[in-house]
Amino acid sequence: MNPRFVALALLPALLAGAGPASDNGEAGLPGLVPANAGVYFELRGTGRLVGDFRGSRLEKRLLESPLWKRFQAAPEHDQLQFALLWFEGHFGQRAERTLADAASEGLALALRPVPGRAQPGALLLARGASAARQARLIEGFRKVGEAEWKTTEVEGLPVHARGPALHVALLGRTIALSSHAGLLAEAVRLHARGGGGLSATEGFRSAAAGARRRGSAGFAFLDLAGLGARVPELLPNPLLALLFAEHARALRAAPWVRAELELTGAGAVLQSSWGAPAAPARARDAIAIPVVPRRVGAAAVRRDLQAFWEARERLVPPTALAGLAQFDTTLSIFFSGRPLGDELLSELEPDLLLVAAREEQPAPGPGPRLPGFALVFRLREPDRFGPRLEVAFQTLLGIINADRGQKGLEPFRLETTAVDGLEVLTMRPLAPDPHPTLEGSLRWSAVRARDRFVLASTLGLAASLGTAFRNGALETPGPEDRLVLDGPELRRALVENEEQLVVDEMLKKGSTRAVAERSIRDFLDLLDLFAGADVAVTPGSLRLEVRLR
Amino acid sequence: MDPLAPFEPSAAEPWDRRRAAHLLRRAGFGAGAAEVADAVRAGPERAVAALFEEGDDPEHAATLALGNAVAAREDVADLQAWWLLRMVRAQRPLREKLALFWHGHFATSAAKVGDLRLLARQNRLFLERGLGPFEELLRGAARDPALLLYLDSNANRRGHPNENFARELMELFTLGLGGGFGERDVQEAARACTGWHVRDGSFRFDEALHDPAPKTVLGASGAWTGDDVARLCARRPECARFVARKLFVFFAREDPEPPLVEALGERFRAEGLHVGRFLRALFRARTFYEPRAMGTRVKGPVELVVEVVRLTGARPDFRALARAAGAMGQSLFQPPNVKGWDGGRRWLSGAALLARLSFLARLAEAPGWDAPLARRVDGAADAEAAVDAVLEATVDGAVPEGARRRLVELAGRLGPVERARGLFRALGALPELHVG
Repeated sequence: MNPRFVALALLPALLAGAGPASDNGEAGLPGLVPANAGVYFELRGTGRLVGDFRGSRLEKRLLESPLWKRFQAAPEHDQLQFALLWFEGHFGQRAERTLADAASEGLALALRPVPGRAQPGALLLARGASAARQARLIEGFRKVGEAEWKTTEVEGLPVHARGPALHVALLGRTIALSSHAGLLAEAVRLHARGGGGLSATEGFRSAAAGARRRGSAGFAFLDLAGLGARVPELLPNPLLALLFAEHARALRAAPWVRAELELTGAGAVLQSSWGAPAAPARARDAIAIPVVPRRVGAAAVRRDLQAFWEARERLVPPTALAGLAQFDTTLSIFFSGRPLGDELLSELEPDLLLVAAREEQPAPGPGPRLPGFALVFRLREPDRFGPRLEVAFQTLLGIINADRGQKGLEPFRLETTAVDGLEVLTMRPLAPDPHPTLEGSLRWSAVRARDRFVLASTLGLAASLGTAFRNGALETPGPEDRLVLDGPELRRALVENEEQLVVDEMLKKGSTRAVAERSIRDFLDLLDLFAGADVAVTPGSLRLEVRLR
Repeated sequence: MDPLAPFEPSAAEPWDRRRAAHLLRRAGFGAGAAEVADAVRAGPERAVAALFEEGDDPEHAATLALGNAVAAREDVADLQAWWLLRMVRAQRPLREKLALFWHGHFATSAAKVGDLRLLARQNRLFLERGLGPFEELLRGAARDPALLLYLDSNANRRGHPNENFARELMELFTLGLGGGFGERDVQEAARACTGWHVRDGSFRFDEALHDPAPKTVLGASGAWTGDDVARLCARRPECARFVARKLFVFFAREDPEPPLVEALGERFRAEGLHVGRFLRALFRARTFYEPRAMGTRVKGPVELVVEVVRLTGARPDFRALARAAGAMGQSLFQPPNVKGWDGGRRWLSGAALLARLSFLARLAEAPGWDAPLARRVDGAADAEAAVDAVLEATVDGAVPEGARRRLVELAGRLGPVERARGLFRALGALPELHVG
């Protein structure tokens, strides 16, 4: 049976049942997890939220979505219904109810690397209200393939095993289930000792102390030191170093990562904080993000490019320095030999913006249809430096034409197009290309609006960004590094590339075309439920907000 | 005695699993135990006939139809993966195997052609015409834009003939070295092919650049064009011998003796140079089932990876599969030169052997490792059963008892969880996997 269908059907039941963790004299769930577990995840307090979901607009949308209709029409749905009926007959109540009861007081999953195995060992803990009911549930499961179950004892408690990868024990009101015998045996010993384990470690205590334990639906703990998840000193390439060196530094100093999931009427919010000393807060203005038609997403960061350039020998691996030197040389061609660090980067404000937006023109062929994308710089002295950037753009066109000439392709010509009072520089082909390639479908364009300089892969995006900056059509969500995704536009961009996504799925997984098409359709229909997402990152924390329709 | 006389089963030489598996391996990419059993039940006549049956294969057709979309991605690794996926999925793999043969025969490289759409189109030509009359295939190949670009045909103009295309047409595609043509024939054929050009991705006969004066090619005089040269070459007895020999070496065994080559050529001519009819006779022939033909041919890298994936039911990343075949020495759409791949024992260089050994290990380590074969191994009662399941599925159980015992010891040491992966890694060291 397709595990996605099982998860889709059973997860709501587990979520509905998972109430706030109640210890009632027993060790808390983290107390049953071995201290060296690298990853711990706990669901709690979701009953009310799932109750809110029932009858909501989102539920209606989900039930009306093609995804749900396909789920109901699939053969797996019948198999699942059969399994649920068997379950109901066996336990005397609806399967969802039985599972919800089993996790009514907490549900936790812990992962730990197992020497010699590619997959980590998993320990699932489900705490219910009644030990007798939990025992009946285990007995019920053991009736499936009865002869294959074997029972041993650990600390005087029975531990049941079926094959090498399924081990079950009842620890008070908690069903403990593991893929690894050793992991389960440790949980049993911890139960016999009255807890301890992960909950007694300094890292977990520190992470849990700062968590909003009652308000969140989920809590996750990642022991960075325990997992040996060392972040490299130097990131592998200059772009990664520019974007993430500060975050990497914070992560390197962090002993753990804590994440909390909060469900709201409009969606879900995931917040994480890293157990590193917080960097002193710096007053920063919010970064303005332009609102343009068909925007798929935008990423905004604030980086002092000149400072990065000066510190490059400390920030990038020695192997990448030669590439940076080459980059310096190339750019100096565009800017009449002026040095990059002192005379060019110093002209730029630290606001950097990357925007992607769909194109409206018909697809040029059967290949991938890239959205337009643009890089936006903010200039310290736009009237002085802006014209130099425009000249550099013309030089870029000359170099592209020289390359095209060597390949026997028609050159582009430079054109100035007036759009809404703005002058947009763009390159146009002399004649329509009968067989446009991916590279040839780009129409590099540049525009200056107020203190911004836009370099875009399409004329349309350059024009709409220029207009947005000139008219102040901007949103300023906050001072953090930010990624904003627009759900419907992202979905449309993917739909435009549906055949390519199917090809990708087939080549990557060896799927049949029918299976690949269904898989992509499922994904697109799932995406249809999302209005958007907003990711904000400051060194030391991450906030991800997913908005549902 | 006719070397192509049909194989007649007898008590001493029965039509058994070994012979049926040999047929399915050479005419396709290996077969599972059930398919082999079906072929044994059918007998040699019907088992061979079944290879040539045409029928619906909608999944294969759907994958084939994606050629343009894949080529438009402008990454040769995607095009390679697309073809490997078709080979793995084909219900009737003989056409794909033939396409692989013709790809080596009319070798054309993406490195020079550049436009992958032309290579996808050429690949389709080999698939659709590869099993029919050779003369038709040759005519299609000689007007194929990818091949013409690869052999500098655009530089072949009246007054400035470029001999590349004409030379390879004779030396590599039809007559072979020593096939009764001389330097003068090449020069005259090159003149006949002037104006044989490619424009906007399509074949175009540019009359203004064609030399219309009479030429003498292979002793025949006339105002020949490229089509005429292809026809003149194809109708020479040397062509039948040359192509029949290559087919024999690819499907049966290396180093056929001169009298056998003569007989193969005669038979190919008698069948009207029809590739399918010739192969049907070859697969029925006694010589095809001789001990020196069975289990003696080194599998090419593409054959090996396709066979392993088909037999195990694994679902790997096909781009990684293409890279693996490349590391073993066969990068599809990127043959090393105009002669294609040498093949045979030359597949087993030191580096290629290492690549072969690591291929199975990587396949077993890949995240998508959920092959039905692995599940059968996991479900095996004991180490012996696990080893038998692997050997039965991959090399038709045909390994010496000593090797089998060592595998059983290994399986016993590994324990149930790591058994499938460990056996798979060890399988790479078995000669039987690489020679079939």
